[in-house]
Amino acid sequence: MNSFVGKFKGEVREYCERLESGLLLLEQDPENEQVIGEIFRIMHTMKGSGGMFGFDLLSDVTHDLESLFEIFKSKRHKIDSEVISFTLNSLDGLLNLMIQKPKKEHLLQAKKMKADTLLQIARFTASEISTETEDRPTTSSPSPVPATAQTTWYISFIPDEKIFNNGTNPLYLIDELNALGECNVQVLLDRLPKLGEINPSLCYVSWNLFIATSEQMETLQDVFIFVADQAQIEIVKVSSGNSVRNERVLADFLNAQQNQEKWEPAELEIFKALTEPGASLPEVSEEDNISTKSAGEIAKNAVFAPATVDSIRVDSVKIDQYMNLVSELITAQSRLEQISSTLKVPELDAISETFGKLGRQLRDNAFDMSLIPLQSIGTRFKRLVHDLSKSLGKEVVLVTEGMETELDKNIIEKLTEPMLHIIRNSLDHGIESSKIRQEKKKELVGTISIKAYTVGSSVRIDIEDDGAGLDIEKIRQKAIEKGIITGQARLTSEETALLILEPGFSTSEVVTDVSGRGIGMDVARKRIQEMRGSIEIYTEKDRYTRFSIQLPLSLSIIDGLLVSVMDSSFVIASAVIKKIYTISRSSLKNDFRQVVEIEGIQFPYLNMHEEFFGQNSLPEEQYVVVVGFDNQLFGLVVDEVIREYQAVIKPLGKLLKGHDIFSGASILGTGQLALVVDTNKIIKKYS
Amino acid sequence: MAAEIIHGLDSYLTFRLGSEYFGVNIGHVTKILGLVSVTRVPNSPRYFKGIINHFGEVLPVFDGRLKFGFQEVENTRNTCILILVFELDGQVLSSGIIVDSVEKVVVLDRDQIKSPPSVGKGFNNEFIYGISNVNDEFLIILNLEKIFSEEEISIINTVD
Repeated sequence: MNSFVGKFKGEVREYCERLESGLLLLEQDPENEQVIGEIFRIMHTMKGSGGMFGFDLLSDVTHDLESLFEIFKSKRHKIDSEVISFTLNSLDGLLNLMIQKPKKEHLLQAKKMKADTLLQIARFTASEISTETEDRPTTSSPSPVPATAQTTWYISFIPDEKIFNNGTNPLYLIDELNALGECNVQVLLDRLPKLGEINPSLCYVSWNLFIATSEQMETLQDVFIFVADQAQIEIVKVSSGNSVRNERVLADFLNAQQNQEKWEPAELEIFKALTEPGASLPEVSEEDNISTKSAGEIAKNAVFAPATVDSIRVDSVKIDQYMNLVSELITAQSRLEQISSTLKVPELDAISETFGKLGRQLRDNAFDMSLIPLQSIGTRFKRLVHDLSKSLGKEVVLVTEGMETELDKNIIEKLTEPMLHIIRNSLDHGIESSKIRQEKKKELVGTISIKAYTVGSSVRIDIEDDGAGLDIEKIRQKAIEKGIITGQARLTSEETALLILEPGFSTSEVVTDVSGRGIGMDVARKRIQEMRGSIEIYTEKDRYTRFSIQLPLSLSIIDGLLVSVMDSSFVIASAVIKKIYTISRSSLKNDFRQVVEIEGIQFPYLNMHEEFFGQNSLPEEQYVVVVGFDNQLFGLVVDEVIREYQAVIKPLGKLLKGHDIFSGASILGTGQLALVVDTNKIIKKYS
Repeated sequence: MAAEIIHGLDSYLTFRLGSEYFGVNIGHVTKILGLVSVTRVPNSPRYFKGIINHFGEVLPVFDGRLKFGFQEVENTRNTCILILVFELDGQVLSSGIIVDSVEKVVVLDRDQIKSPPSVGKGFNNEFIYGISNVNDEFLIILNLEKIFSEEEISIINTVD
């Protein structure tokens, strides 16, 4: 049971995310019925399964929210931005209430949320009573259409055989339809097997049903909303008016339905028109309405499409294990390759080769699985912009592009905070208030854009705002004041802009509630660098500020250079390597300052042989691998440069965590290990 | 994949290190490996031998002889690596320890294990879970959690 509860909690989080993105969508397009319907459905599911798992508070509060959305779903009132903001705020509270044994504070919170929700409901229903005629009975029937305007619909309901497994009783659905209008129900038993073959846990029955109702098609669809993926449901308009008792029309219609494959859609249209007494030909059917939606609208809906079963949830630990096993397989394979090349048995060669090919495919596949799209954190950015622009009184839209770009899930997790921080900064300091924007003759609504794209084996994310830009001169002054640079330093404007990422630098005179809390920009940069990423800033006064983040696709696989020192192998990430030189022992002699001079540039170095293994058997000639970090050069002196090497990095484990000049170890083809050098840490430690 | 500690067993795997006879609860032992090549990690204390590739997992390996203050001796064909699991700060970790030879498995009741003597033989008392007598020989049962505790490990970070 506990595992179910865990799963449920995960699901609720997902529901909330989907509600969030739905609500944000509604803000732009408040009349999108599909989204409202989906929100309603998610709330309903949350309420139901919440109760089932004993999260009574959650289910209780969700029930009220659901009632609130019932108002919009039934089109009694239009949704407004207050409701959207209110519901968004409630979502955070909901996650808080996801506990089985509530304490007093939770009960209080739930009570308050319920009260608030009821207030919202009252806001709408109160106006309802005052605007509508007083003699209207206070039934909950939302039908605004007079009962005479009935339409006859045909509904084919073919449940899946396994529908009972979900505890669904199809008869209840039929009952529900009966309540909506006059029905003519035909039970189809064509799927019924012989008596001996009947499995009582399967559903063999299907229904053909005609209903005359004044309700809209959506209402009929909503009846089946919870079985939509467990049944074939078809709803077609038969005619205007009540034809339920007109056997001939119904029989004709059924005939047409059965031969539908043979009918061209246009012909069907005509047929329908003919069977509709008094209906004119060019009447637009519901289906046509859907197809005439603009491409933009369809795209919008696609973003918020109800979940389909084309993906499954897998515990991330399992993916990690899978990755481990695959890299172990690769290692075993390269051993096999070695053996087969010495044995020279043709049959073995062939197998080894196939094995190698499959192994590589498997590796790519496993690698692919551990990547998730940036989209998964996109909602959080939207939410941030939505909330913050309100509280700052600025009008800002967020434009995203390339959010389908995929990155390692570990990177995405670690990336969220720095990105939120940059966006927060752009909102607070970058985008001007609309008054100032008006004076500057800019568009009144500010724009923040996030653009992500792949460059080689890394991903670049640009976060740009069309705000005031950075004041380079002011930054320079401030940096001198704070002693970060000297007055003589000659820096390009890009270099100057980067100074705002230095620890202890903050240009905003007033520390605001928004960007003056939490991590600083220096920490944001540190987080990105920890992932072997980099950040650059481009800016133009009164035009834009762009933060450009570059990140590796994955933390666990790097392109590296395999080098050896004594009998040990080491891996250095290719991304940081600038140049490699051979170097004789004599030119490393000026050990006093531990500086080497190559091509007129002096830079510090670390002789890995001496440092790690002492003076013993120090070769006459060594190689210096020049690595760059933050415009600073550093030399790593090694005995041999072996080859390029794609390294799967394994963590050294908790017991060795303090050992930070190595970021991990990689298993070589021989089964031996090579330590992966963390150049940033080495530079920090030795220069 | 992750190794698990099996609690509540009363069997002990015994092994020799230098002149002494040691034992660990069998629930903490996942494997006995022959001596495989160990990759050195520079700047570590001498008793920390390095890391090995254990089925795709990187495991640290300690030299039991140096760790417990015995003389380093040439490896023999009996030298082997015990892969042990233990809990540290609520996390289950694996590590290898090099021993001179593995003896056998003995079954000991709780009352056969005495608490360690307060005066040790130049051996950190904290490491000892209890002492027992097996065939007229003292068997020192190790307290793994203590041996691999954070304080001990942090030594790794300083150069020997």
